[in-house]
Amino acid sequence: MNFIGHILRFRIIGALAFFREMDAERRIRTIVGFAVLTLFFFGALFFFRYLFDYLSKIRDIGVLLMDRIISLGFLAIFLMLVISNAITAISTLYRSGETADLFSRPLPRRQLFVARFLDNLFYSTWGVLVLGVPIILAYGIVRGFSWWGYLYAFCFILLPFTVIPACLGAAAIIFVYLASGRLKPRTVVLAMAALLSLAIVIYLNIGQTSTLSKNILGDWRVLNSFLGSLSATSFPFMPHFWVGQALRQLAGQPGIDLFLYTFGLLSTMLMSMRLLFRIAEKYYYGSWQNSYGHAAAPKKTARKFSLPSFFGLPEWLPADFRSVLTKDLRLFIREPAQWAQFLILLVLLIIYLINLRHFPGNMTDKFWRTIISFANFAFTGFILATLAVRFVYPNISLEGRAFWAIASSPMPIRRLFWEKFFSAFIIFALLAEILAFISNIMLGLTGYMMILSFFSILLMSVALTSLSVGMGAVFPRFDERNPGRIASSMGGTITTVISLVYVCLAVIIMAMPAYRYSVYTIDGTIEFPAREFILSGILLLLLNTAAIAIPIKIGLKSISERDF
Amino acid sequence: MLKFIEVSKRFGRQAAVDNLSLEIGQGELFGFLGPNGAGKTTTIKMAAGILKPTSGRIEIDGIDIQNQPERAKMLIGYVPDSPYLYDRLTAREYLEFIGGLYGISNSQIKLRAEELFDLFGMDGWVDRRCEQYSHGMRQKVVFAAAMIHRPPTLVVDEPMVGLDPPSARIVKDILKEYAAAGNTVFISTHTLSIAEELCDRIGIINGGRLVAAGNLHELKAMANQSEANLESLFLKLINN
Repeated sequence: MNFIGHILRFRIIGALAFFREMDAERRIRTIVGFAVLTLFFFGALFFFRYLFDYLSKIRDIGVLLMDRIISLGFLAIFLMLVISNAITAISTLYRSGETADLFSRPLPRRQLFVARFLDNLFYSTWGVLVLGVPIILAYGIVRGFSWWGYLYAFCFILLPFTVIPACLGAAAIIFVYLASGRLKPRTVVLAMAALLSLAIVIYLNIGQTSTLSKNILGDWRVLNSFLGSLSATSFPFMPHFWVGQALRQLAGQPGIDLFLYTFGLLSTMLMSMRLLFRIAEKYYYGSWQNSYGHAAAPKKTARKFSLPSFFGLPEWLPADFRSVLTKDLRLFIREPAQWAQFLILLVLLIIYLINLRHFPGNMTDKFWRTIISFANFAFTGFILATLAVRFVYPNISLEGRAFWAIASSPMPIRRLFWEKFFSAFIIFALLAEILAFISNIMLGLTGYMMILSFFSILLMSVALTSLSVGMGAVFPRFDERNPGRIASSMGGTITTVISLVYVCLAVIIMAMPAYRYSVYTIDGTIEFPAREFILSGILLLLLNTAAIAIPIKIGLKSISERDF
Repeated sequence: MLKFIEVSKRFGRQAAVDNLSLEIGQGELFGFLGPNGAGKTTTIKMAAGILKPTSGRIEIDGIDIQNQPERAKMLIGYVPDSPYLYDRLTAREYLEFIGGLYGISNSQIKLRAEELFDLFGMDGWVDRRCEQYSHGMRQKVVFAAAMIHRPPTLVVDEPMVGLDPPSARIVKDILKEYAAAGNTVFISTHTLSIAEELCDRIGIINGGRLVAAGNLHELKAMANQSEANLESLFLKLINN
């Protein structure tokens, strides 16, 4: 009997019931959520269409740049999918009560695993697709896909592309739990992070292009050289490369190459699934036993955790505030899902910094230096937005079912909100400034650009923390223990979207006077752009006031009025 | 019939269950007593096929649950101590779902579900979503789901948790009747009065080891306390 279909059928019944029977408040939140996602979808479509349209008109290298962006975009999506599938699998495949319940039923273990895997795939992938689909649509519109081209792209390119990282992520987590029978989960995750870093370093060194060390004069080739230096995007044995190539083929007269790259994607998907299911058949039940064993095994004593004296929490902080803060830090350190994803994101940051090493240091053209520094600022902003949603957004939800303890204590809920805000902000801002400082040094930025970067990143940290804490209070998921899954929920996805839009707007507003200033300093054909600076300042003030005040206001209101 | 043959379960260096051998026959209601952390839930989870014994084997009507998990699980109904329910399904849909996992046809599920809803006195609730249920009502749904396929062996972890007195009475009567109909019922509890009232035989587990098993008279004889109640017997046996 096919139990997978049976399980999925009741999944759908549950989902439909959720939409059918929701109360007015939930209905409004869901409608707002869908509206924001739809706006983002069409916004992204508009943005990428505009970008590709612009690039397609640049002679000689426009199409090349477009393909590079596609490849780079899908590499990022691929990595995001591996991470999000792995993190969500901790909850879906191992910690969920549903999995334990299904193990008590007379189901073939392979079917049980497939049902849970499909669940995991859906939860981890849908949010990322909100970004992937508009990129393909925009590319198709600009490159003139026929109707069957879109159909082909979604069925035979995008679908296998999303399944491959899902298999990788799930398999990695099975091995982590399998090894955790002999090793501590912390050791296993650290070893995997080390292996991943090593693999990436080797990968970057193999894929490195020789053009990086050449002297290039300041023109378009410099930018192309910079993009070319992100050599990780053009490794020909990776699925993102096949996606880029297959889409490119769809734009012209499809030849044998289209089928070659599609075959690469489809065969890799089938092979990944077959391998994963074989691995699961053999090891899933055993690794699940290990995960249960770790939860059940009596520990000698939990490792005592107290902040080092030089980081001691100041006495003037209210006692309840200090108490919650210490509890949060303890839980963070003892929660493998939290620091596992922190380690993975740290590895990604290192990749980015390693890639900056390839930036042509002898480029003296101020114009391009400004452009590159803004690209770096934007990228740092995107990383920060991702980090905020991954780590700050789930904080209130992670109080979980134990919220009654705080709700019934004399500690005002508003103070809990501010504790979440400040504890997240301090760590987050520190990390953001370090990231910005290192990347600026590697790009050779000094003087006023460095100061501008410092203050912009600080302001951005406040805004992104406000967005994540505030939205986390509006869309709490007290029933979920896994922070990765909380971040992938609808509320988390909406927060990601709003955060990314905020970063885009901030970059656009700041770029306008910076561009004019560059032109002014380079050839002096225009006046000092004082008007642009003032206008930009006002717009930034408005944007940040909105990004900081609105989420805090609605978050505080929502959490204060909630019944526990 | 449920049979534990030299079953041990270790978590790291700690033995949660140590060399347990026990046989519960047809028509018998067996109570598994023990203090917190004694190994009751681990034993029950092994019997339900969720946990794998480190050594030894468990048979349901002669079928080894590790070697033939699907066949053995068809013969068991399991009620966990903290049940998992799909909050967005109604009780009726939940039973349809669980019935499907045991390969029962829809028409049969519908008939059996109605019987069980009547039995547990759940009228008026069965078409509401589980997220609206009290703990007691959830417990009733899980009981009904465990009995949907008429299993010859029922394994129940802490059956009375969260039930109000009328519901507890219903569940007690159902368990007694189920055993009287020739089925095997294995319950774990640390509420001594429940074991005393319901069970034909009682096993006492402490620190993963079965320290005594038998009916109330046999336990009294073991503890040399012919006049004692179960509470003092229990305390004496686990302290020994």
